[in-house]
Amino acid sequence: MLQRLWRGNRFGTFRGGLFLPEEKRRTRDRAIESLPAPAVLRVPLVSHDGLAVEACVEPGRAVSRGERIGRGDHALKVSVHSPVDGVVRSITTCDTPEAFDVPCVEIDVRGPGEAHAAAAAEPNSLDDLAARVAQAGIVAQGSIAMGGGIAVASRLRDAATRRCEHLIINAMESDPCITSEGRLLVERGDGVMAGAARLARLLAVRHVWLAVDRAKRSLVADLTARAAGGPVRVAPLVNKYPQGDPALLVQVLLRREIPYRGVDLDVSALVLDVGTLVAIESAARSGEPLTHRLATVSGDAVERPGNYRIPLGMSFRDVLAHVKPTPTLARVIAGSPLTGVAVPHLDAVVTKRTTAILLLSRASLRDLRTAAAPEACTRCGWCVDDCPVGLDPSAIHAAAERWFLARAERLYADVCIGCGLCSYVCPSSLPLTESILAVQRSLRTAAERETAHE
Amino acid sequence: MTDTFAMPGHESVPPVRRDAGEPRLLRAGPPPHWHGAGTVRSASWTWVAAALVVAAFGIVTWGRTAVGMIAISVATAVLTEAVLNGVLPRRIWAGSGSSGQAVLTGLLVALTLPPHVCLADWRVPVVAALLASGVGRALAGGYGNYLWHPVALARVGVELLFGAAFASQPGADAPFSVVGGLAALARDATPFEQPGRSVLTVLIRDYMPPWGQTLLPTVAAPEAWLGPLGGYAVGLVVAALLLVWRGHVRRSCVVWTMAAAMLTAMVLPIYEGGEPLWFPGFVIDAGLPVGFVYVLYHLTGGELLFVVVLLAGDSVSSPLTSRGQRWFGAGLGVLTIMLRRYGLVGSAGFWALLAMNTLVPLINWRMKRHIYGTRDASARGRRWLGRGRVPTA
Ligand code: SF4
Ligand code: SF4
Repeated sequence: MLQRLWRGNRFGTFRGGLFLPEEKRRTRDRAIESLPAPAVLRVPLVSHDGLAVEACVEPGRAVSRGERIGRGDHALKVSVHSPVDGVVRSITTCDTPEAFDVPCVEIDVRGPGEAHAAAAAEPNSLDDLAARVAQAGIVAQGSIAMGGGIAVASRLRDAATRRCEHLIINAMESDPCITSEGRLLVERGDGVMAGAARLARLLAVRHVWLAVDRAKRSLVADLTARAAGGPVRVAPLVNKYPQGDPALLVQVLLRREIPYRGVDLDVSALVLDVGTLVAIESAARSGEPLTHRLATVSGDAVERPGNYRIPLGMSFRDVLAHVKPTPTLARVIAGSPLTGVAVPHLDAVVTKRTTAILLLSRASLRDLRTAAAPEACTRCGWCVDDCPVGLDPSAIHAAAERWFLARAERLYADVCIGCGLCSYVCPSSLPLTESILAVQRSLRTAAERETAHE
Repeated sequence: MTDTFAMPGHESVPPVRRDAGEPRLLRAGPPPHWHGAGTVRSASWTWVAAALVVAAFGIVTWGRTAVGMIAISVATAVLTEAVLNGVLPRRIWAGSGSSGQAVLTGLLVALTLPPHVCLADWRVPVVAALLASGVGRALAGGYGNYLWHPVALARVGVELLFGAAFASQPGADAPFSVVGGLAALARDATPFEQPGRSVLTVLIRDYMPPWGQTLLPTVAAPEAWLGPLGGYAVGLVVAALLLVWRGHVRRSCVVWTMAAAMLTAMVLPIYEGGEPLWFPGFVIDAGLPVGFVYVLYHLTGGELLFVVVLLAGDSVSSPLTSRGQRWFGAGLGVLTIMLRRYGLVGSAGFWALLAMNTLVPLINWRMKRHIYGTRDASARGRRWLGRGRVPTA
């Protein structure tokens, strides 16, 4: 009781984590702009790690904006649509920030095309909505570790078959540099509220939470006013990195923990981010498929930073042509500075998972390889203290170095959410996150192999 | 150099079209692409700066003697580590690199030694530095691998090896130095007994140096037998603030050590008329809180503060988690006062630190952080010691 009184509107925070430099000033007040499509798009037929969908168009065929070009029918395989009007030049391969030689549909662009016409009727059941979301090819945003790349339709269907009491809309934006979702809230706040209310009704949840950074006072006040009288409760949270992770949102908002190797629905909660919610709402209202990616373009080596809607399949070279890199550019990162992937070359293309594009100069780049040579662990405990899920990254790293997988598993390596904080703070510059994620991948592969064997 | 790194798993990077004038991207490793400001090198030099603050007090008090001791000790430590870096394979010796660790070891060793001992026998600082670098660190596998703090190990080592030199120093056996006087209360307080007065009043008023000299001592103080660490509480507090501010010493460790030492000193009995008098920290004599002053002597006199600030916070030989550090600090505080009062050893703080260092693996094992999502799993697997079996599901 006392705790509740004390908490009131203050939800507290999780143990560990860090207040990182935000670096959002360059883009947070810039309205969302659409980037014009280049002459050629190479739309990747993949949304999740290594699983491609089948192309359903052939070379020479004219496609219009929003037309399906890849058919997906699986939680990890989602449909892909053309972002433009054009003609299919070939079915070939391209590189993405996450993978090489990904199947793609190469389209000669003829024009931007018309936005999708309104759907006949709005969905009145969850199955109906899930079918539209599946058709629209909407995937959860964020990194793989945070459930990014998984078909939202399959999550909605799961939610329909299980008890779901809480819908949590994640607008924390706890990653440095990223501002696109904050802009969505400012520019399409009513749409977010309407989408949340619709989902709440169809999912029959008891509580709808909209988690926002409590430091954004005017936004919190604005959203609270918009939410008045509706089912949504605005939850202003302390924005310590990585508060935006679904696991930590559940912990802070509901005082529950997602069980080991479980998902959010195991604690009767469904966590969706704002971008996903807006995409769902568009699909529900007008059947509009996911053809563009909203991403923040920022960093110290860009002349025109901002929040852009980028057609899927646009190469980083074409993006850079619009946003104008400075001559100091040394690295392009797809995602946030802590979890993003370095773009291997500029012919790689934007995917449904590209949350941000950071252009960094050599001066601002401080990854483990440019910071200092790795040294022996000094057992300073910073990684342990700052890990948001309570792991001992130094011990897991030591086990991973010797490839003691069983020991790493005993240390719960697969609880890691891949936030990158341990590597960020490690004074010995040890690649902790890298080895823990490598162990995770191996454990996952081993488990999959075991299942297949059975 | 960074250009030559290949991305793991991305070895077969396809040929890349680069237009003229296009920026050349660095081949990149995995995330994160930012790194915090802390490095081992910067940490080591912060420690050196903190130790130098204390050394400055020693130099002001002892002049050339202190400078000579510090120079001998630092030179020996640096030479030893340079030789070890060249001789020992990396497999068994992680090395000290260019991170300033050797300088720090030499400096700390010098700060633990009584100047008079070194004047009597110049081999003391040499052997102490050799013990710290050669035995305390090299034999333990180098920086990051030792169990006992090398400097504390060296200090008790030279005290055992050069016992005669230590014992022969002026004031070393005097019951009137701070530590000597405090220790005397545990055994036999007869010299301080006066009718109608508390032994604490007599000890503090007639025998001990003024408490202020534990903060900023002078050469004339009987406390001087403890050398540069005899009572530089002000310097140590400045060093502690610097280290806590930079995040190299955890506040919880310092606070818990001092709190535990204070409570122990307040509670453990002194002897008055052959009878134990419990809770001496609360003694008030003729309206004066002599018990409280007695506790203050415990906290700022002797080696306790030095051990807490400059040795116990060393990351390699202390527990990993903040919770562990609290228990470590509490144990250190209690043990130091108990050894000081009832122990037979001279340097209670160093022995207490070594004892607590020995317990670090156990503390690390017991004081793990709760891992997200494993509450049930750990409850199921709990045993009388150790917890957190992995669920097999
Ligand atoms: S172990 Fe995983 S969750 Fe913990 S800090 Fe490192 S990357 Fe983040
Ligand atoms: S942060 Fe780095 S040096 Fe410190 S304990 Fe963790 S792995 Fe070791």
